Amino acid sequence: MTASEAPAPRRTYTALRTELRRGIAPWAGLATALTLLVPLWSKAAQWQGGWGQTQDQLHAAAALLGGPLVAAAACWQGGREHRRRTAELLLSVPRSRPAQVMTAVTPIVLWAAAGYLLALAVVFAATAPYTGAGGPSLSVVVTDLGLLLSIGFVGFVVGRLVRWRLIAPVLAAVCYVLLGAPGYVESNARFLSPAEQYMLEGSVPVWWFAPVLLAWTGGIAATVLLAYTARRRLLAVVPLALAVTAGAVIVPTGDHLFRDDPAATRRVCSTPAPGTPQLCVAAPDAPVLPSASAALAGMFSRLEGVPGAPVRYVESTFDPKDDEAALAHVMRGWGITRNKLTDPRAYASETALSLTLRDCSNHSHRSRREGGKQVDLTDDAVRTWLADGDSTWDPEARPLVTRLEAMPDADRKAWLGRYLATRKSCMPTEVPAL
Amino acid sequence: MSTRPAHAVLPLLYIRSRALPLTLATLTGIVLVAAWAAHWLQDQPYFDHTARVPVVVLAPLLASAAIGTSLHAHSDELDRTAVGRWWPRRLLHLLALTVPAAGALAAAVPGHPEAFGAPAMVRNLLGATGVAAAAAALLGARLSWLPMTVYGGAVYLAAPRTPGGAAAVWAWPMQPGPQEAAWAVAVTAYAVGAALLVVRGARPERG
Repeated sequence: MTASEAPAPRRTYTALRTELRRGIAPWAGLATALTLLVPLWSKAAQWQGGWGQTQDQLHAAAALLGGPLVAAAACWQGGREHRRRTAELLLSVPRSRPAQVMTAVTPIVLWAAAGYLLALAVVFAATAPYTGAGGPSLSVVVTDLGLLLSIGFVGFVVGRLVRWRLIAPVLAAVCYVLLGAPGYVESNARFLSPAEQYMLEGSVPVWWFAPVLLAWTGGIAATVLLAYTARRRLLAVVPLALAVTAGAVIVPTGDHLFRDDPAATRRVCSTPAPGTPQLCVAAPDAPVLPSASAALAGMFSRLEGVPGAPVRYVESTFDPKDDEAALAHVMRGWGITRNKLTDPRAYASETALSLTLRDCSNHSHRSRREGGKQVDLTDDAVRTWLADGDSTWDPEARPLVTRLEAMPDADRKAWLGRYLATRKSCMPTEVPAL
Repeated sequence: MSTRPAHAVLPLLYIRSRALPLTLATLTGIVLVAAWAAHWLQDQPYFDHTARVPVVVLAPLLASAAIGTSLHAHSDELDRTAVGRWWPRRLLHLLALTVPAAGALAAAVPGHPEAFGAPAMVRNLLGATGVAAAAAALLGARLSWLPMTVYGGAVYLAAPRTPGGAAAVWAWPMQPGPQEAAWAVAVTAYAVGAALLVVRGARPERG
């Protein structure tokens, strides 16, 4: 009879709507958003401006903090009928167990997902104005959401089964340890933990990363849920097999779940003013170029007109060639904040160091001893003078800096030309003395 | 029937009504796992004593959850009709769990008191238990673990790497040891939480 069947779905949604508005579900969503946003806000300098760093930090917070929190909230929701002594009353309701369980747990996981998405929106809006090439990875967002939903379902079933007052915080701690502990091991099995750190600033997940991770976490959740609610419990074997298969794909693949980010391997160069060298960085770091040019302007003006001076300064990961030199290595949060260098003098000093640094580790100690000290002092003096530094590392190099400063302009350019011609040499006799 | 046996039985009844043996067993379990985890973490290649930070944050958090939820009374309305004063019992209850837990947890992280050792463990236990006791008085004992769990979790990732400064106040559970501001916050939290609990008792709960 259609008249009596029609109201059934509406009743389902009424119960769900009430559950969505009442109880701890909205608070769980708010707590998820705040738990993610507070640590991210305090570490903003480390991720604002880089999509990879932003997603790394958000992923770590979502998995390590959001996961246990959602598990505890769902566990608390699961224990509700027992606490209110309404478990028997619920048995008398003419609705199947899966329907009852889904109505009770869905609000928690939906609100948790909403909290995560809110945090994601805020963080992406905060990072977008500062980013260069590249973009956020949808795969990571989907797997994080999958983890929060899966862990919510598992937590709910645990709360239904275990009648212990402490079960919610203990479950949160157990989830934290289970998610975080694999990070301490070297083996590829660590990729089974959805909280594994992904290093997204130079790599992107392969296209099948999200489906496999979802099959792994979702498979476990579906197994637990079916084993608890289904009339035919053997059905739980199907998602279990799916999860095991996904796990069997993840472990041998390991690092190969990620490939190099094409944006990170592409280099972007500045358009230099006449007479100044070019600066080249990885495409995602392109917005840092103006700040780097400004920091190095003094050093470039000192090298202007010097024969053999590098025509290009490149990020050290790009392996500088003969007529190129390496830029100082800086990272977001350590040297750069929102694409601005936090210490331009240190940046100039480190870039000058990379220009004067000799890699002589393969040469014998004998050749280093004979005049090696003098070469070290010369390098130190040139580095200090180029970076307009206040002090040398070795006090004995101080007179050499004074001598370099006192030289007539043309002589100094000629001497620097001879010096730079030998900047890779490990033979002390070849390096001109000051 | 004389009143003497009843007096002797009362503490026992209190202990049973608050499920204190189970709480003690839980605390023992937490201490043993913490001792093992701290030892294991230090033994990992390239790790030193500072690697104990997850244990020093997590173990007091769990212990405070156990202490906080042990304050739950099944028959709160009945309890409040009692003639005797409740505050000495509440205070004794809190101290009798905090002191042994602090001692045992401190023994679980031997050596290097400046790098997440025994002092940091005791400080974190005091602070977390204070927050849990305050939450029991304001929210109810069964959910008393929630505020400290959310706060501890957020601070765990948010704390800066360098200790001291303003972070010693807001990220007190993440300070390695001797920071005085962190101690001040933790001891204040314990004093305020204990006072709230002792005066008001755990908030009656229904759901």
